[in-house]
Amino acid sequence: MSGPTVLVVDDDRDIRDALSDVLSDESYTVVCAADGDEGMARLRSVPPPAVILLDWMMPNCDGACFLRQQRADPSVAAIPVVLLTADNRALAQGPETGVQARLAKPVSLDELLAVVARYTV
Amino acid sequence: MPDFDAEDSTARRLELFRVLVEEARDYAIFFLDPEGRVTSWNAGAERIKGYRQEEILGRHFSLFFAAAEVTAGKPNRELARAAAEGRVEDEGWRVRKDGSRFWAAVVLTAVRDAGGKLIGFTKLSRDMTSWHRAREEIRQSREDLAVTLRSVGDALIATDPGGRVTLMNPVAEQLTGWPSGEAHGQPLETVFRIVNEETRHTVENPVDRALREGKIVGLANHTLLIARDGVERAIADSASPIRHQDGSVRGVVLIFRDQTAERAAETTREQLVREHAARAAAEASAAALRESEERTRAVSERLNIVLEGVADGITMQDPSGRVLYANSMAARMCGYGSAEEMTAAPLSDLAARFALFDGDDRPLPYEQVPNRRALAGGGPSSLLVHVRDRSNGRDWWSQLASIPINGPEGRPEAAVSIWHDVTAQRRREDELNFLVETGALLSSSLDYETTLAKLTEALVPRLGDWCAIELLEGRELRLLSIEHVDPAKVSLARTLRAKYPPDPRATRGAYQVARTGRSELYPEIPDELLAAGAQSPEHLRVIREVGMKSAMVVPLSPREGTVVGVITVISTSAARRYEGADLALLEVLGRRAALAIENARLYREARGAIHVRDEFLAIAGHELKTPLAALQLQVQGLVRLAQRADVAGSVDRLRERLDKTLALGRRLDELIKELLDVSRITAGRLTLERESCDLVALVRRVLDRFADQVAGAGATATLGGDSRVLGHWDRARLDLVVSNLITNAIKYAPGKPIELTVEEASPARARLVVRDHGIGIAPEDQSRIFGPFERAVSDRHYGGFGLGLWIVRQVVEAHGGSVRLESSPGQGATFFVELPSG
Repeated sequence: MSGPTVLVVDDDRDIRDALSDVLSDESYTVVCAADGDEGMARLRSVPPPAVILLDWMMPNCDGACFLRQQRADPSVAAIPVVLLTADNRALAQGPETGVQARLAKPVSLDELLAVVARYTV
Repeated sequence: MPDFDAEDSTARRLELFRVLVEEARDYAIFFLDPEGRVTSWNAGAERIKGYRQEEILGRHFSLFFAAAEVTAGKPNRELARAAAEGRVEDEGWRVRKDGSRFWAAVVLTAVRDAGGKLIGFTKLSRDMTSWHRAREEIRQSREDLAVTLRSVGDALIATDPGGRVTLMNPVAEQLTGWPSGEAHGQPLETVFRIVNEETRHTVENPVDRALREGKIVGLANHTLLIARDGVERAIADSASPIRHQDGSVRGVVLIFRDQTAERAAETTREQLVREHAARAAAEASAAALRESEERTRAVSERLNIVLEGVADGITMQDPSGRVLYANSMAARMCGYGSAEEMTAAPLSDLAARFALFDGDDRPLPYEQVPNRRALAGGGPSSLLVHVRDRSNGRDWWSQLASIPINGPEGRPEAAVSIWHDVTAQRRREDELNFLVETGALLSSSLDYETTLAKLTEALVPRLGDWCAIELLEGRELRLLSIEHVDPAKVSLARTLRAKYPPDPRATRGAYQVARTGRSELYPEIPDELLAAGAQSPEHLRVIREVGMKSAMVVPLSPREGTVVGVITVISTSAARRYEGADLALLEVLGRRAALAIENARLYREARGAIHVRDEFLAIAGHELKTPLAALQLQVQGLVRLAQRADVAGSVDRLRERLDKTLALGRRLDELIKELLDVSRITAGRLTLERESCDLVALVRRVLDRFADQVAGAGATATLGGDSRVLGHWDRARLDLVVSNLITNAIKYAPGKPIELTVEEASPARARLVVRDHGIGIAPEDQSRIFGPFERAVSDRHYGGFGLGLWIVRQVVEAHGGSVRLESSPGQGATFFVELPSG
């Protein structure tokens, strides 16, 4: 039961719970954070996750804030990021944000698992 | 002379001669010796003189003369003359033998011999008595005619057939100026120059006509005779042809008379007759006139009453423009004390005092003014005129209709003018136009501060010399805009206001109007009023300098009971004293301006509200989407788990996951309920459905409903205070207030006691207190937590839209109550809700 680690960064507890539950069902190790700063802390304290599921709209340090920090840190900059958001604008943004994939909330579980699988192989 | 001495046939010739002489019966032929004695006698002598030959031979021929002539020596003188001159002819009375007289024509011839010696005389006489008598008669009749002509009073001119003057009497000489000697032989038209009195054309000479027509002709009337010296005289005349016995016209007699005097007399007479007739007529009609005058006076009195009663001004002017008549209304319109004063005013005063303008306020040319047109023969006309009294600046509008009154010759003798005062209508039209203009101005922009500044500009000088708009901000009046006819004074006014701000406690002026919502009108501003409003002697001096004469202060009030500002208009001109109509106009403007302000504010608020709603929708969408996303993930995960073979081993896990799924469903339900509450509150500006209810019972019911939730949060809830607090409230909405306050307490103070108190704070005022012991709210957050979407904490763990307290405030305020909060971080929070009993 110790599959690849997935970092979930989302301010909503219910979302974190649901993501954590469904990914755990698929044998991923899930680490959660409520905002960007917490997400960065989790990145540094544990062995780096294989993929990051990132919410865009969050209080304090949001998705963009997290991305800036992550990209600035060479040790974690290469970890692929999957953007999970209900914000159409964030979804429509170009590749310059540097995210590997974008998933619209509410996400299809199959789609989610396929994307996570792609970056954890 | 026969030669008696001829030789040959002397004897025969003598004989023949003797026979001739002797037989000549009509002539007395005889010889006289040198002394005058008769030496021969013939038959004619005997027949004429009555003497036989034998009686007379040898007698002296003086026998044939009258005794007086003989005495005078005439016979011998004749002999001497004949002897001297050879021959004497004579005519005269001679005497016959019987003593009778006869008129004799005599030739006495001296006879001389061959030697020249006088040998005697031959005398040849002829009886010419009848011829002489005829000639005498003619002479006499001529003399009579001349005397007649001379004595005739009329002038007389006779002409020959050729029209040449042959005769004139003295009167004719006098009238023509021609002495008859000079006139004689002149053509008549030279002497008798006549022209037509009126045309001055030469009149046909009557002589020509008389000659041509052969009958008596009269002169045409109105004939003037021009005398030689140029004097003209009216004459009457006639011309008559002179006919010979054989019928031929021998000339013309013209008789004429000087009629100058006669004409004058006639004229005088005619005049007298006319005067008499006129006097008679006048006397005859005097009675009728008196009667008619009486009637006229009665009618005119009645007419006067009518004219005085007419609401229009009525004037009558003579062609010079002088006012002959004016009714009282006309006098009043023109600012005269009475009709008499107006009619007595000199024309020059009227012209100098009143300026006339047309409907578009252009100066009206004199000749276009209806009364002047009527007097100039232009007929009746009507025109809208604007009259300005230069003496005091007063003006009025009048529909002026003028009708000419024509004299007997068809020329206007007077003009009657009717002045229909349309000032009020005109003012209304002006006001209407002004309101339309200002209305357009007020609705031109939602930037009401700029709009109101434009309004003050529009009001000056239309309504006054000064205009200021002040807006109520809290309890203070802020000067928004000020305008003066002289822009230089605007900054002075601002400076003054800054130096002497209006006293908020003053009982008149802007603050009072803002307080009461009632306009103030000052038709006159006596000095005492200024003194009363002055804050210092210096202030008084300055406001005196402004020279206020009249003022209006009007609230900017969109509706009864609401004042958003004050508009002040001041006149510094003596001509403009505000009255009720001005105030009414300004009040309408005030209301419109207030509406414009309110509209602008409402628009701003509406725009804000729309912005808030958009934001709310975005948040709500996110808030709703989030649990939905989690719910979907959970359900899909459950589906995946169910499809796996090892379902049995996962029962606990499934249960746990299903609980989470249910919780997510509840979360969605809560959110939707909150949304519904909000929509219930905001739908239709929250109309309350009041009913009698007991607040204590109401709170208790809510607590019962929340018992599980309170217990679930590990908290306790207690209710204290009065046992019954009655009021007239919207039960369902107060339920919402209590629910939200309890939810709030559970949310922010889990596991802590919640204390509720319901009591009567004062008569007819209920109070609900909800106290928790949770995290508390920082002072800087306390004011905004009652706004929409506000939470004192940003963490979304507390869930919901953050609309709960906003809903509380909306409902409480709709009831006329208030809600406030006492709290400090870490010390819990206490909400106080006060409600009037309704």
